[in-house]
Amino acid sequence: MSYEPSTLLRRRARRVKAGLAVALLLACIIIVVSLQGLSRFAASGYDDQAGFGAVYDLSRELEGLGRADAAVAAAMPPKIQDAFGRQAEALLMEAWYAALYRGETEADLPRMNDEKKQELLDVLVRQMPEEDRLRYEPARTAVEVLAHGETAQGVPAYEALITRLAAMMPQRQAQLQGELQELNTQIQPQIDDLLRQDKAALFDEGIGTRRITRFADSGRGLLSLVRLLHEQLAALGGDFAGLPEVLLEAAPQDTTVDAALPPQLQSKVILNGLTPEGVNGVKMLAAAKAYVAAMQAQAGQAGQSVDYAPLLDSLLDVSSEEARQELLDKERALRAQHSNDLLAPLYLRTLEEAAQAQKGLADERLVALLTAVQEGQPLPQVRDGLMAELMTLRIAHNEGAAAGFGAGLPDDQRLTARLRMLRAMYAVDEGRLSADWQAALAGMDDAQRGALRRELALALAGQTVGEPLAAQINQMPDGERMPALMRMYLAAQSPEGQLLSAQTQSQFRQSLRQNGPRVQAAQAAALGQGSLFAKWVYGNSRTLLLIGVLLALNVLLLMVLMWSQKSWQMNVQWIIILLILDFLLVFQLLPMMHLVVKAFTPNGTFSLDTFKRLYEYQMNWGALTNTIIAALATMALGTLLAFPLAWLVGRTNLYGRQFFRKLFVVTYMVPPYVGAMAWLRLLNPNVGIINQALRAVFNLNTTVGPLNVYSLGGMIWVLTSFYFPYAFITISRAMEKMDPSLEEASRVSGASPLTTVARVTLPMMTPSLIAGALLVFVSAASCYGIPSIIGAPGKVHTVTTRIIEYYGRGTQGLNDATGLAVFLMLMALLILYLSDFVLAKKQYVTVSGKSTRPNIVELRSWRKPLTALVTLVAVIIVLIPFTTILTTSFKIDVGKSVLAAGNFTWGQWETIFSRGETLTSLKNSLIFASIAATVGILIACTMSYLLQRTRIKGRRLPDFLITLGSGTPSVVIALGLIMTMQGGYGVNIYNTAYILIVAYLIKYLLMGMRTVVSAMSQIHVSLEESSTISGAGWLKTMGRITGPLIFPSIAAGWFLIFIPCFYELSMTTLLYSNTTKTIGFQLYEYWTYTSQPQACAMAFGILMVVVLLNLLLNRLTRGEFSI
Amino acid sequence: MPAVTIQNVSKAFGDNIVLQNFSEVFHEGEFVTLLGPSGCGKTTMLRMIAGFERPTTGEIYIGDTLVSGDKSFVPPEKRNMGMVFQSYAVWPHMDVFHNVAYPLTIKRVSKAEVERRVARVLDIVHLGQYAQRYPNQLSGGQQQRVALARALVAEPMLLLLDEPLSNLDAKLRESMRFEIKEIQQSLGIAVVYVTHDQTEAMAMSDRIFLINRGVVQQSGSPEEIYNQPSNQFVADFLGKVEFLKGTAEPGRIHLLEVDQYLPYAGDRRGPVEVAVRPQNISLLPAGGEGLHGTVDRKYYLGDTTDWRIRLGQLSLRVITDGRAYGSYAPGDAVTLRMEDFHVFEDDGSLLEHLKIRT
Repeated sequence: MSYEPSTLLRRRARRVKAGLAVALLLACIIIVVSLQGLSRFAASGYDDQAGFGAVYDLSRELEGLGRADAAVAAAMPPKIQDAFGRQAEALLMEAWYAALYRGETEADLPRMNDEKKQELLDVLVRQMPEEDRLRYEPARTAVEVLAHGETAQGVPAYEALITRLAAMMPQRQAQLQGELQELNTQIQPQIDDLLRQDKAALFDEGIGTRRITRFADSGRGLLSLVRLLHEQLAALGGDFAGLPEVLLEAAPQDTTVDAALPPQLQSKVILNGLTPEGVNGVKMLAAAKAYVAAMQAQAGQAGQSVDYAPLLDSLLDVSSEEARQELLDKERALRAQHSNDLLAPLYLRTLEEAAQAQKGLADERLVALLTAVQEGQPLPQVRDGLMAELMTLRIAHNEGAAAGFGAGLPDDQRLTARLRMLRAMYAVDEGRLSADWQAALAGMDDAQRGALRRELALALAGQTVGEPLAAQINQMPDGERMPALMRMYLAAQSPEGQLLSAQTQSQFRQSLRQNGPRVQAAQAAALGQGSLFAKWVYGNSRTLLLIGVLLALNVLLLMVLMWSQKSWQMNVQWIIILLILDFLLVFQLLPMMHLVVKAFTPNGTFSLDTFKRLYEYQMNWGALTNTIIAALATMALGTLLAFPLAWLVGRTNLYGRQFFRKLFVVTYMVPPYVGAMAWLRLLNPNVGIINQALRAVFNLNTTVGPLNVYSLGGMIWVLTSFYFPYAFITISRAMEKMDPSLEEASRVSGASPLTTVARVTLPMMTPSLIAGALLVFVSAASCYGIPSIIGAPGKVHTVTTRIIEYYGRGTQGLNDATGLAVFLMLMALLILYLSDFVLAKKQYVTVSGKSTRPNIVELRSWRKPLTALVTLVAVIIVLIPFTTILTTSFKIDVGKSVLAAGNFTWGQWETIFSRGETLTSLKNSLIFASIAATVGILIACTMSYLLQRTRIKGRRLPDFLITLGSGTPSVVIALGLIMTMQGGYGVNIYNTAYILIVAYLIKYLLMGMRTVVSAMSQIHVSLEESSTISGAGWLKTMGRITGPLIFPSIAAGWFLIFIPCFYELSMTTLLYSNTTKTIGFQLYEYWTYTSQPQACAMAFGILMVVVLLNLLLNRLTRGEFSI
Repeated sequence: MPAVTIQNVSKAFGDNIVLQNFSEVFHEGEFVTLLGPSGCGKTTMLRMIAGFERPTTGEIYIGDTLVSGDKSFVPPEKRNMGMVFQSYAVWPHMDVFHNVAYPLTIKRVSKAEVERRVARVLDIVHLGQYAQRYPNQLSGGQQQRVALARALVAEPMLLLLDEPLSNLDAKLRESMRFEIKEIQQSLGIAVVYVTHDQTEAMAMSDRIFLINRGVVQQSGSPEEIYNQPSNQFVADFLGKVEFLKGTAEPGRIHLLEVDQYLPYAGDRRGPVEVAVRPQNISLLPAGGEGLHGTVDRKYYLGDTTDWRIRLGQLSLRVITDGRAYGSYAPGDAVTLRMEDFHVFEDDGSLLEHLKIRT
């Protein structure tokens, strides 16, 4: 029998198909319209959306006001309308001339700072018509050159001005140039001499700044500086008293020196013993300062001079890029200043000559300006004068332009257009109405305001104004009365008594100042071009384009789904799937695609430049090999550690196996950077506790080592100790799920327990083993916290630390970061593919719902030794680091034992809890993580239901993307979001909390989802069906049967998302803003820049929070779950 | 009044048709069993009555109400039925009392009433003292009775049972079988019971629907379908049966593999299959009317004796009283008399059926 769908179904299908077609058409229309908007946008020369948006916001308000106007006008008698029209037009023209641009120029001059004035001056000159620009350009340059003492190319001011003035006098030019050259050669030695003296000041200033190096731990550069200082001081025969003590502070703890030696020799010995790696940066800086003080004192006494040049060079070497640039700039400015001083006579002569020969000179404006400066007028005043002059000129230009504005329009439309233009100008200049009147207007309701508007309109038309304003207005002089009426009329238009919000005003003002296309847009708005709708569309074209593309994608996807399901019926589940999918497409797939595209097309066309540049650089190759070596080694070590542990804990009668199991799993929840901090304290080559102990035990006569955490090996060790739980969890889960009869069969066949492990258990574990190993590999490779704390100070770079370093370097840096990120992403995705899609198919161990009891291997006489071994591992991996964190948090001097006299303090904890920024960041972390976890668990529950309880097509798509997202390295997710969420694609959440929450969701959603999915898969569907048959609807069944049954998993899922979000660092480092710092980032800042004990206190606090949450979860789920 | 009316119901999953043109009326107080091998469509039919599946075509009425049709569909929770699942589906997070009380609380029955009715229904299923226990503290049979109590507590018009006994051990299954029947009779409600176990079906049902490959093969009382099977499948599915190929002639059938004649009064002609139940064959000393053969092997089973009798190329199974074990030894010549047999047209359907079974 074949079955025919009923006619009803067929009709319904037809309706759905029609709906889909309409939606697709709508999407196409939106796309076309928004593309048109974008092209307009491009054609009009706007490059920032804010200005564009402001223009259109304004136009929208104007439209509304225009309607109100028309109503008022229509209510007036024809005669008055006429009169109003004529007078108003004349008045409006006049007001407009006055208003155009003046709001931001002359009146604003006193309010502007120098930078802004310079910017405005540039704009004013650039906007002049060609001939005027040529006339004013030299004067503008002169102002700038005089202000900076040199040109942008670094030519001293007077030299440039002489050349310029000489060029204006053709007959004298050659001679003047010759003189200039000669003089320049003469004065060079003098300048050098002067500069030598300046270097002392520069050095003083440089050493005073705190930005010498980025990492307080790396004092290596400072060491060579101090050695230089030592030699200088020795050469001067200076006094070394006190210096050895200062140096000892900076040296490793066990550095000793014979106290009998003279201070100079003591210092020498200490300095010789120091190695770049071993010195404490902050203390070394203090030593350098002490040396400088001693040296200057000695030089002062002896009347000798010190050669600061090598000192300054050495200082520049160790300075941060920023501080270095600042010092170099200062040095250059000083050179220019000396040159100017020495060239002054020649300059004055040239200027005098030029002034005398002014007639017929090409640029009398320049000469006038320079003369004014020479005559003692302050430069700023001269510049303001120049600006005022330019503004007046521009108003004249504007008047010309204004007369032509709207000239082509019919009379009534021209009036309206000019009125609107005036309003636009008025809107951006709030100060045109006295405060009294503004208050009076603001106090009116709409009806009163309407009446006033009518009154004012009549007054403008030559009629009388009624009380109470009449008296005030009538007292005004004639010239002011009409404009005042006009202004009041305009102000009365606005319902709020104020035309635009302060923000819109400033945006609009800014956009008007840029002139050109912007004013054209304002004019277009005033002319009423395009409908309100079109303006709205063009104003939001990027967002619309995004919506259009998404809609089209959704419809197409829906069509494919319906077609493949052979069912043309709408289903709410599809809508839910599409909503989740859209979220993932925009916030996950789009950024990732953008990264890839950007890496291969850095300048809009395909090119491999980014990669070439990146991989030509030795440091990047180093980072790449470091990453791969570290990840491979971590993978090998981690798996080697995890497998025996998992077997011992899961399958043998080890003492305390449950305890060990929990312990190793809990380390999974510890922020990796906390471990890095602990191991740093333990294995620091000089003051590391373990190193000190080793030196003491083996009686080593060195001050460093034998172990150095700031190395690849150190990094691998820390990575291993914090990522092996990943493998441990994967392997032990598979081990416990294994059907015991498989092993029993081996035993029955005569194999010993060990043989069974080797021949049956291990081979069957291979897929899980590999999956666990790959997970460790990719986690280690994409880790940022550990390399940034351990690797960076030791110059062991990894791809992640390089990405974040590049990110801080402007546009080019961002491009380079993309190149590295793409490498990291591809590696991670390859591994994700291997483990999730290839390996998963080879899993021998099927996870069955029924719990099998794995058979336990009797360890017999091995039981005690093996338990001791596992205990040792636990002590090394868990107990020692955490204890270190705790004890360090009570230390004053991190280099000494916490039990040493006077080294114990509660102060670090007090500081932490009393500091506002800690509490703010804690609050931020709690809020962001809660939101992410709550939204995440909602999506997780929805997805679980779709995956487990429906057979709807397409439910695997979001699942796939969520898996992909969590497999992507954090750094890559964050970088992608930064580059795409700044409005370029119609979404702008940059610098907000949303971008952090979105990033957290993408990275950690899977953790929650897997938990809920597996819980739901274990609830047999008949449990729900029997509720339905009992009369409960879907909601009741979910609420009373399914909900309570999987509640523990929902809670566990929530915490699994919450906890990593709570202490997240890698993504936050890239995405935070000043108001959205989180506790993880705050901790990192403390560690790097402030104080290690305080950071340790915070770290222990975070640990406590994690442990407490774990206990809470345990209670909430009645012991069923802990993480 | 009919309890359930099913009209022309068919169900297809994609291209796979699992049930064809099912039309029947189940009456109030009737115990109806849907019987058939696994995958025959019986569970699908039950789930369509429950409302978990929608028929592809056709209509289902519960009482007078149309619950599944082309244009209308009443969801399961509005159908006022009880159902017991194969896996019991007792909620692990509620104790016995709350499990059973659930349908009543959904209906917002007053607390006192809930307690009264739950207590009563727990008494009916002999679980009165287990009300405070959680499912994991109960045995399989007890969980099964909790599920039954839950299905009965709301006094549904219709009770649906989906292989409820298949997860129990043999002894428990037997006692539950009669318990369910007793409860049904005392409450007088209609039951639709799904099983693949013919003994279960025979023991409990007023009417059995034997379904194979989506089509009802025969319906009727247990006695009817056992004694008057309408085709080879029915005969084979219910109880033990031996098939003999033959050619019907007026007054007799020539049995081909045996090459002997069987007296036959019916009017079929041509190739036929003779179905005979082993216990309907009498074993007599050699000589006299009947089929002649020799004893091949014999098995003593206590209640009965199971014989293999060589008839030409054929080894025929015969079951007699256990006491007859000593009467014949292997090699003895015997005469067989068929007390009751059925003659079907040999259309190859038996072969096909056997093929499916293997």
